[in-house]
Amino acid sequence: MEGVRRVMPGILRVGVGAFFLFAVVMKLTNVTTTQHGLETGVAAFSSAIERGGVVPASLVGVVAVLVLGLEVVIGVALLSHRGVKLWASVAVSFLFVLTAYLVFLQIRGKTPDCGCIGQWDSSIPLSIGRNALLSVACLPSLLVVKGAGPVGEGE
Amino acid sequence: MISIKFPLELSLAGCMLFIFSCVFFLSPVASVRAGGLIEDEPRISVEEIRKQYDSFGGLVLRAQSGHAESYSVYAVSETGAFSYRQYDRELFARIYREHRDAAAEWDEIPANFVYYDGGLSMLASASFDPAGMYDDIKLSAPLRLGEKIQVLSSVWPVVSSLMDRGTFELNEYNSWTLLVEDVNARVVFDERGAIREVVWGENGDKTALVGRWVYSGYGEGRFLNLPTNMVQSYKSADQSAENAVNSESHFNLEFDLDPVQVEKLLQFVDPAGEYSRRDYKTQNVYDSAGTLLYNEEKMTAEYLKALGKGNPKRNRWILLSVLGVAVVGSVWGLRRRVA
Repeated sequence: MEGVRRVMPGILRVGVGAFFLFAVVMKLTNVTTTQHGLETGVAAFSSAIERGGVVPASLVGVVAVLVLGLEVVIGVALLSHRGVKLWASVAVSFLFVLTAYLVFLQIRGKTPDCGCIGQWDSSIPLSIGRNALLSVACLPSLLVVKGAGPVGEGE
Repeated sequence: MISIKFPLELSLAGCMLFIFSCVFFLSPVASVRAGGLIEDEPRISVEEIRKQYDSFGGLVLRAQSGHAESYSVYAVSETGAFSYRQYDRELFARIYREHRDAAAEWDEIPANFVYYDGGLSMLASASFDPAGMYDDIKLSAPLRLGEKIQVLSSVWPVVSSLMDRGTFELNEYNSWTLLVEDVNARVVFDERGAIREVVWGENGDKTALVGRWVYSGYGEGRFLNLPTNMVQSYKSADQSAENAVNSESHFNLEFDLDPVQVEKLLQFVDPAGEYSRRDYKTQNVYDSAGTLLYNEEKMTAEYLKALGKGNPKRNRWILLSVLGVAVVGSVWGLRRRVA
């Protein structure tokens, strides 16, 4: 039982990190017809952001690259088990902002999905629930257990 | 004993939220909604707006209804600007009620207006529930093979004619509002001349935006590449009427194809005699001489190759494999740390 308690934060962290990288792969290899025609990868993701209507059209490409880059960095960092608290907090913050964006899309009601996982995208409510689960999965890595020390505590 | 160190997390979250807020409130959508981005001068003139909604050149297609007093006109300019007007007597009467004479005018003024300028900038509107809309349109002229008609649309009666009857006023965001008193309509344009909001109704409190149709994906990829001598008509029906207000409507498209042509060109026989969206899904499309015009997979692959995009599906598996190795390595590293 003690072993499970010690290893669980790390396992959850690996899951979250893997999900971030999985999302990047799905976005980069997405082939879909958008409002601009048949598009792939970053262009398709940019179009999804453009459909959201929040980011100005002239900036969607930059935002798409930034989001992808951030997801790669967070994913790799979580898998590496270094700077655990730092990267878990970055991941939670990122998920928080993303969820706020999804809530905005849901309230506005004009966009059926966010383009978060490419062709495997789900509805916005499901995406919000998914982000909530991912955030919860990050929480154990944010907790400091004095005396026991969660595995991978690198700070 | 458990304790949580918050300052770092909170500061990071604060920074991210600040960035998000900046992006949000500086965006055009948010600026209209939240009241930001006040400028000194209007970004577009009334003349430019008029021109934008009045000038359509290029290809014009006329589609006659098979079951009702209605017809539609598609216009595609060489620049990609696209317009769609539907003339529908019943629709006209429902929209204008006692304000107009449907018997005399319905075939002169479109009851259903759609405009797409190639930049996602126009959403149109109407005052009625699109649940009642059902198009059964006979195509009287063939679309050209590969022609791009991607429709972002909804239903807005007669923007151009309203311009002749209404007056433009600068609104608080220094863009324009068209006021049409005799039909109690107020049309708010954004800084590019796209319609941002329509308020309609006798009390002036009804938001008229009813949604938009997106003929992308299936609609664009299949319909446009189909030799249209096979197409007798197509139908569209709204499936999300209950969420029609301020939502993106999802339309099903059905194609009523000429069975003889379908059998000849697609080598496909439907025992029930009904050729629909589902039925005519095919990888291959041939012209009347039997020449292969279109193979979906091949076309997509060639298109991606021309764009220098490689093979995304193959790349996906490669990247997922790398990810799998990374996850295994991560778990292995975790195990070592535990040990």
